[in-house]
Formats: sequence, structure tokens, C-alpha cells
Amino acid sequence: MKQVSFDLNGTKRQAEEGTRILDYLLQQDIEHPHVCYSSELGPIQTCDTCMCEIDGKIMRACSTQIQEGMKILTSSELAKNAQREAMDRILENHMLYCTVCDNNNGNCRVHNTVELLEIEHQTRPFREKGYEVDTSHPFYRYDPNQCILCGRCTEVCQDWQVNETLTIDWEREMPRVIWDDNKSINESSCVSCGQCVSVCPCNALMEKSMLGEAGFMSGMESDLLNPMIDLIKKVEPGYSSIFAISEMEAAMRETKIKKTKTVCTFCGVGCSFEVWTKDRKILKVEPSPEAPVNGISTCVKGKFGWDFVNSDQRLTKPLIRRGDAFVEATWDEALDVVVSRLGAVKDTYGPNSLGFISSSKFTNEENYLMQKTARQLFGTNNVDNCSRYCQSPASWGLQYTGGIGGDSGTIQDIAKAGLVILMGCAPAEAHPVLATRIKRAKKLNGQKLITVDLRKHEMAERADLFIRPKQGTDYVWLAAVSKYMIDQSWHDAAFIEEHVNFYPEFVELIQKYTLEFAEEETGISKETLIQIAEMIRDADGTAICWGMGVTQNAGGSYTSTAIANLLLITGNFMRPGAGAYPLRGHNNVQGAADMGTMPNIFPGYQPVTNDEIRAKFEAAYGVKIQAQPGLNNIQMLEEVDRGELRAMYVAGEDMAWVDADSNHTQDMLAKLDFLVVQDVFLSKTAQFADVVLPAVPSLEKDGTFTNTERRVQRLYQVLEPVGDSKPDWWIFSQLAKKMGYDWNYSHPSEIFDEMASLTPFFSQCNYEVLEGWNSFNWGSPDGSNTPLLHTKGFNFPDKKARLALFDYIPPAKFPEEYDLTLDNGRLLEQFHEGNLTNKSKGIQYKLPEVFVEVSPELAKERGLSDGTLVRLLSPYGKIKLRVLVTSRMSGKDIYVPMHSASHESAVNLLTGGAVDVQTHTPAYKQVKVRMEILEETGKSPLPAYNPRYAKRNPQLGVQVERKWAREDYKPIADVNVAVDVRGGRK
Amino acid sequence: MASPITKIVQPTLSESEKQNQTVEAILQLLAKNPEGIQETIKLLQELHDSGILGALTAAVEAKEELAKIVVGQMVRPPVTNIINNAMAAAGGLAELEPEMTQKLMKGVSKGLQKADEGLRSGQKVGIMDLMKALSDPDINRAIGFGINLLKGVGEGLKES
Repeated sequence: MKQVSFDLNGTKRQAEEGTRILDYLLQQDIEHPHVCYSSELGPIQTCDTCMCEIDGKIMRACSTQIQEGMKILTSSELAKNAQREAMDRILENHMLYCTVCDNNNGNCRVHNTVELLEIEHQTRPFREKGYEVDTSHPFYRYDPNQCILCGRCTEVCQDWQVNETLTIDWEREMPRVIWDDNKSINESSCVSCGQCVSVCPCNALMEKSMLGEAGFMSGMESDLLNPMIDLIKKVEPGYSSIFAISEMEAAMRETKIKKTKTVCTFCGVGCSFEVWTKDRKILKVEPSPEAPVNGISTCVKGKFGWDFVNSDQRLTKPLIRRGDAFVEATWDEALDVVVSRLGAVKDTYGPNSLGFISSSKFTNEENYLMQKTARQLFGTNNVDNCSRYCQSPASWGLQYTGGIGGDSGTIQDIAKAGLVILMGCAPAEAHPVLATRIKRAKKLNGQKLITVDLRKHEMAERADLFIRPKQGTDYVWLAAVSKYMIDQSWHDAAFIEEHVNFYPEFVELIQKYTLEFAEEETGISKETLIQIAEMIRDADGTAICWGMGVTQNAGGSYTSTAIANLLLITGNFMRPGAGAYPLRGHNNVQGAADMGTMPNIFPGYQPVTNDEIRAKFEAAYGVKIQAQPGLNNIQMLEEVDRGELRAMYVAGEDMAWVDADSNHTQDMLAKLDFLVVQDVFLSKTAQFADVVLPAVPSLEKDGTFTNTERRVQRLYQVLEPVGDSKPDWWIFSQLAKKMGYDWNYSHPSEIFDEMASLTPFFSQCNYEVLEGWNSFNWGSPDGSNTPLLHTKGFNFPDKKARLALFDYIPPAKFPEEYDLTLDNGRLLEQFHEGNLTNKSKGIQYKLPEVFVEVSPELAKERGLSDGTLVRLLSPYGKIKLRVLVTSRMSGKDIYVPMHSASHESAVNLLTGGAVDVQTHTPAYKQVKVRMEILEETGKSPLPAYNPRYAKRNPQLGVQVERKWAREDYKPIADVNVAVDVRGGRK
Repeated sequence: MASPITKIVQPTLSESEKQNQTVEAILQLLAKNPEGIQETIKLLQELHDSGILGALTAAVEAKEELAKIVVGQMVRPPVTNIINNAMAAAGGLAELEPEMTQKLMKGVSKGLQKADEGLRSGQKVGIMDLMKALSDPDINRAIGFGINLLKGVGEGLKES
């Protein structure tokens, strides 16, 4: 980079060409006033407080790039007067009642800037804008009278979250932020991501959970508060005296409010943020620019969905089944029962009569101990986790082709890709923050987007190309596009030559996948398939993200290899901005598998069948370990049915509702001789247990999670455990102690160290490496940090990838009477079967119940309308729920969200049957049902104030030029040019 | 064969058992912090004996009402005037140089002493005495000071 020399306040300095003045000042830790600017949002140019005198002219530090020979004065009289004038205009819009304000937490930008500018009095008196405070939304409120119109909220909504709800109406006499076309917040298209609140530089946008709680005096009733504010106004001391008091108050708050970094548990994206707590009350979730994945971004669940932690339904005591009731017990009593009963089963029927199900919600350390429990304490490899239900086929496919079953790169690579293809995933619902990066790249940088799904969800609406192949036929169009690209010589011959094996065999295999065959099998026209091929050809990097729409099929693992094959022949591995991205659904799906809670592998994908590796673990654990892989989840239940598997230990997994064919699963649970369930709530699965052990949620323990990017991040304990509940790692340790194995861990870091010492991928990682906001992406055999996979070759001895040579497996057939294709999955607001998020009043208010989404065509044909009560029947079971007619669905495809734990409406009462050929993942998506109408009319299941009804209002940023165009705007700067705000840091 | 159950039987504790549990927890806390507790008890007794504790308790109980009264009183113009005056005066004092103030105070104190002596002697002052006094170097210095002071005040008034 070229350096430029310039003069700053009389001293010669150098900077990289193109550096903005304010960025330079902040880099050098030189304090300089600014309100609207932030490193993420870039120069918005609305606040005017960062003015400098540059070669005699008044210009903004935030948007002006340093030029050779520039003379910059940051605090000349001219500059100071401009800054003070700007702040004076801001204070006309904002009353400084800091000491009694909930935002007085030391990080208020307006407060801190007034103070930095040493402003004592304002010349323009404060005046209200004449609008009501909008308190309509369950999670946050907007006070127009405190709003300084900086537009940060609008920028973040338009160009980071890209939900495109907020704008500033600059043309009205008294400008303000508006939602959609001036709706109440609650009735708008707002998806409650909370980012506007997070970036607000004052108290105009506040989390409702903060109001009246954060300050020592902010909880005052208005009949005391208002006179106090009046008093301060009448007394009119200089602001420095007011600030002295408010700072004392802020310092006092520091002692009351605890801020703890944690990692979100509501999907696999791995957002990290601070949780602010006052005793047990969660005041708010505060994201940080330092968070490696999400920066300042959150979604509704991560920002607002934590009520379950303080739910009065939490389990607080160990429970033992006595007759038809659970009886509260001590840990000693409960663990004694577990040891003696599991021991008895093992002694009578052998170690393989036991099964252990681990959790993709709890930490790496706890997963490690779960497999250690199974293998060391009970001598069985019968241990599995819920990635079996979702992502095993994707991991298998990537391991088969590239040697590592994980995402190729990071969220930054997805953002950087020239083309993103989303297959069978709806990230705006299930991976919201990851979706924002795609939406942003598309909106600001022209990234291309192809969406492949049955349901026209938000990412399909936004796509350049949206296709709806027939359910379960993705393999075919992938193979056909691969063949067509090779036929056209659009493949990357050099890459294949250097890095890929089995190319000739692959070319032969795909000969039958002609465009004609593909059109017939998938329903996608030849022209469209050619268009896809062209888009891949023209893109600077293609990233394919996929989810359960691909994996939960009979051929899910082979479709995953077909994705890898297509990326391999087009050279879309080993480079930034490209690759394969299975989107993990839970916070630690990746970690659970990484830690070896699978029947065939030890931690780090080391096969149990490998004698050398097994010997290593036998030496470490001091026991013999079986050389044969154990049973997976699905096989365990089969063995229960056959009477071979007699007892299970299920931790952090609600199998009863999450396994396919819930009726069958629950029959199997009932059949066990002995069942231990370790959970935070008395889940359906726990209701079948003989002993229930109360665990704690993530906020009550230390540990690490591994997100979809293979990124390991630490979570720190926010709260003390409730009652007698305990972290899972403590429970496993106590169990081990009772069985004569004193593991003697005093902290999860010691568990991590033990794991890392046995696992090459993690050999260079420990808790110090992961301190604070730091993180570590595993992915190299030498254990080094590897954000981008395979840059030194694929993970095979010859460093070459392997094209997979498997054939297409058509979807399972159903009897003709089942005429509707049942799609199923998540919706944004709720998580999984709902056990956690349904404890949040606000979330329940916005999305109270599950429903069946049907197409307008089907509605017309069957006489359905919003609110019609129907029964859906499959060969495995039936449910009843209300209808929602939407254009998201087409023809005979219907969609049922999965967030129900009710015998009336849980979708897995319908699923069942086929499983993936390689990994046994149930084919949840290959289900056909029929429909009966129970009541023709009824209340719509989706409230009118759910954002899905509202229309978005896209525009680029806050449009400051409209502010400048106002007649009453008197420019402070000599130069006012709207800049490209894409210059934010990420 | 285990059927799903949701009933949880909590050990029914009698009132006295519950009380015992609570007392037990408190005793543990006391046992852990003996010095602080002993000192606190002494302090509380002193506060009680002196009646301060009773007054404080009453004040805390009525905190909302008291705050309203105090704020209500404070927001009246005479009070805001006092506060503003006090703050203005404090601001003025802040600008004075301490050496000067010391000099002036010394002068005033000496002057008061002389004035008192004069008062006691009951001496009448005629025009001639006044003229004569002007040539007394001490009185002349004081009058010069006074005139310059008046000039400064005048300038100060003009500025504001």
C-alpha cells in the first residue's frame, strides 16, 4: 500500500493511502468527536460532529480520505466551532437527563461526545418533536423525542440486517425514524433482530428489559422523575457538573451490572455477545464489533430469547421415578440409582446393551466426557448425537471427498463469494445472521444468489434465480449441471489435474445425467439448468450452502457428494470466497461430532477401528475399548425394539419429539429397562425416564462451542446454577467418581486440554488461545488455526480430493392416497421443537403456534382459508392444526414448522420410514400426507402483527443527501458529498 | 415399561422444617463472617441507642414521599435561585486568586480593628479631617483600591 505524508496539528505523519481521517485518529488512539460513525457502519455523515479544518476548509473526518500533503487541524477554532455547532443541533433533539437514563452505562456516544467537546450550555433549547413514544413492540421501544436522527438504526436495518424496515422520513417537518410506511413497530416488517437498538448511540431505541432497571434512579415513577428533570433544567448548571454526577452513577452501575461474554445456542452460526445481568435478571444482550462471526449482528432469538433461563419450569432437583410420580432426590441418591441400574444392565446383558445419546447443545467438554463415559465407564461405543438427525450426510459427503467434514471457510468467505447457492436451507429463518451477510453482499456488492427449495422463503424472494426441483431430486440437477459444464469445457481442468482424483471415472458416471433426463426427473427446465451452469462459470467463486432439505433424504449423503463434486470440477475449493458450507443447525452440532460422540470415531474423527489410535485412547483411559464401531441413534432404537438394547442415557436431547416417527420413538423409550435423562426441563423424553438429572443452560457454565465454520469459541458463566442443577460436565464427573474413576477436573479448561492432547486437529488450541473474543478454527492435521480449509492440499495422504462415484437414489415412494408433499423445518422466531423459545412471552406473542402453510392453488381446490382446521395423516401418524394460505408454497407442497412439543401438532408424528443410505439420517423431508378438513373456518394461526404480512421498504442506507436538501439545513461543512457507505470494516 | 409422567412429588416440608432450613443457611453465613458481623451488631446498637436508626428507618420507609417533597421544594423559584446564586458565587470565587483574597482579608481585618477603635473613641469627623485623611498614605491606598475595584466591577457588568 502506498503511504502518504500529511500534517496533523502541526506534526508530520504518514498513513496508508485511502485511510479516512477519523479511522486514522482512532487507530492512533487520538480522541476525536464523532456520533454517527462506527467502524461497521462507516461514515453516515449525519451528525457533523467530527469536523476538521483541512487546508482551510471545514470537512468531515469520517468521510475524508487523507491525501498527500494534507494539512489537518482537528481542534483549531474553526474546527471546534463547527463541532460545537453540530452538537448544539443534536442537543436540540435530545434531552440530557443522563443520571436518570437507562442508557447511562459509560458507553453512551452522545453523552461521551458532549463531554469530549466540553460543552457547557446549549444555544438551541431542547424541544420535543411532537410524536408519541412507540412502545407497541414486545422487545423494544422508540422515543422520537430523544432521537438525534443519526440514522445508525436505519443503516443497520437497511444494509447489515437487510430487513429493510427502517427509514428516516427526512421530508416531513419534523423528521423521525419510521417503520415501513409509517406503521407502528409491532405491525411493521420488523423481525426483531434488535440491531437498531444495539447501534443506537443514545436512549432513543432501548430494549424494554433495560427500562427502569439499568440505573439506580431510572426506575423512578414519572411523578418524581419529571420534577427532577425540571429541577436540573431550571438550575441549569454547566453540563460538566451534570456529567460529573451521571458518571458517578454510571460507575456505581458497573458494580451492579455484570457483563459476560457468551456464545449463542440458537443455531450453528456461532454469534457471540455480552449478556448484561443484574443479579439473575437479564438486562440485555449486547453484541460487540469484536465478535468474530457476527460483529454487531444478532437475531430475535439471540437478542431477546433468553427467558427460558429464568423459567420457573426449570428442573432444580434430581428426580427419581417412584410409581406414577417423580420424587425429588439428592445428587447422591440419584447417581447411586444410575450407577447401580446401568451397572446391573451391563452386568446382565453386556456393555452393548447400553446406549448413550449426547447433545449438540452442550459444550465440547461435555461431549468429550459423554463419549468418555460411554467408552471408559461402560465399555461401549454405543454413543451418538443429534447430528445424526440433520448433518451427518453432509459431513460424510465432505469427509469422503475432501477428508474433512466441515465448512470450507468462514462466514466472510460466503460473503465474498461471487455466487451463493442455497440448497434446502432457509437461512433467513434458521441461520439469520449468516443470511444477513448474503443479503448484504447481494445488495451492496452485486453477489449473485440461486435458491433451491420447495418453499419460497425470504432468501428465495431475494434470489436472482429460484428453482423448485421435485422433492428429493437435487442430486440429478447437480450431476446434470456438472456434466453440462464439462461438456462445454467450463470445468477447471488445471485444478482437476493438480488436486482431484477419479476424474475419468466421474465423467463416465455422469454421462447419463443429461439435461433432458434432469428436466424430466427434477422438473427444472433445460434452459434454467444451463443458466445455473453459466452463473457458476461467470462467478468469481461459488459457495454452496445446504441444509436439511438436502441431507434429510434417502440419498442425502450422495447429494452432498454431488455438491462437492460440482465444486471440485469447477475449482471452487482451496480458495477464499468459495466452497462447501453445510449449515449446522445447533450451536454445537459441529462440536458434538468433533468430540467423538459417534459410534465409529474418537474425538477429531479418529476411527475406533484403527488399532494404533484405539491403543492411544486405551492408554489414556486405562481400559480396553471395543474395536468395533457401536450403534448409531437409529440402530439403538431398532435394538431396543429387538430387546437387545436395555438402557439408555440421554443428555440434552428431546428424542421423543426430535426423532422421526415420534409415536415409535416414544414406544421405544417406554420399552427400556432403565432410562436416565439429563436436561434443563422435564422434556417429553424426560417424562419417560427413571432418573432425571437437572442440568444447566449455557449461561450457567463455562466451556466451548464449535460453530458451523469449525470455529471454537469460549462461553463464560453468566449466572449461578438454579437450585441444585449442575453443569453437565460436573454430572459426568460425579458419575465417574462414583464408579471409581476420579477424573478430578476443576474446570472445563482441563477437559479441553485432555481432549486436545489426544486429538491432532486441536493440538495447538487451549483456553488461552480462546481467551475473550478470540477463536480457533480447527482443520489442519498439525493442529493449527485453519479458517480456510485445504489450502495446503486435501486431507488425504496424496493431498488430492476424491470425486465421489455414487449414483442417484430416488426419493421414497408413498401409497397414492398420500398426495401432499410435507416440507418441514424451522421459522425464525422459534428454536427447534420450541422447548426453549416458547418460554419467551414476546416470541410466543409474535409466533404462538404451528400451522400448515398451503399454496393458494391447493386452498382453492380444497376450499381452505386462513384458520381452517385440518388433520394431516401419514402412514406413521396424524396431527391437527390450522391452515395458513401463502404464496410461499406452490401446488401440493405444504409446510409445517417444527416448533411444537404437543401430541396434537408435533410434525414428527408424521415423519418416518426411509433413512439415508450411508448415515441412517431419517428422511424427514421425504414424507407424503393426506389432508382432512375438520373445521372449515377459524382464526388465523399467524397473528396480524407477525412481520411476514408486512411489506419491506428497501433503500440504500439513510440517504443523508435528503437531509442536506432540506431548506432549513445550513451546511456546517464546506464539502457535502454522499459517500459509498460500504466502507464499513466487514 | 415406563409410561411418561409429569407429576413431581416434592418433599412436603412442615413450616418448622422450612424455617430450620432458612435458619441453617443464615447460621452458616454468620459462622463464615464473624468479625464483620460482630462489628456490625455493635454499630447497629450504637445507632439504635442514639435514635439515629429509628429516624433512618422512618426516612427510608417514606423515601418516595420524602424525595417528592425535597424535589418539590427544590424546584420552587426561591430555591432554584439559591442554588443558582450559590453556584454563580462559587463560580466567581473559583476565579479569584487566593493571594489577593488573603491580602484583602488582612486589610479588611485591620480596617475593622481601626474602625472599632475610632468608634470607641467617639471622635467626630469634620471636612478638614477628611481632607487630611486623604493624604494619609494608608487611607489613600485604600481609596485607590476602592476606585479601581469599582472600575473593574463596572467592566465586568458591561461584559455580561
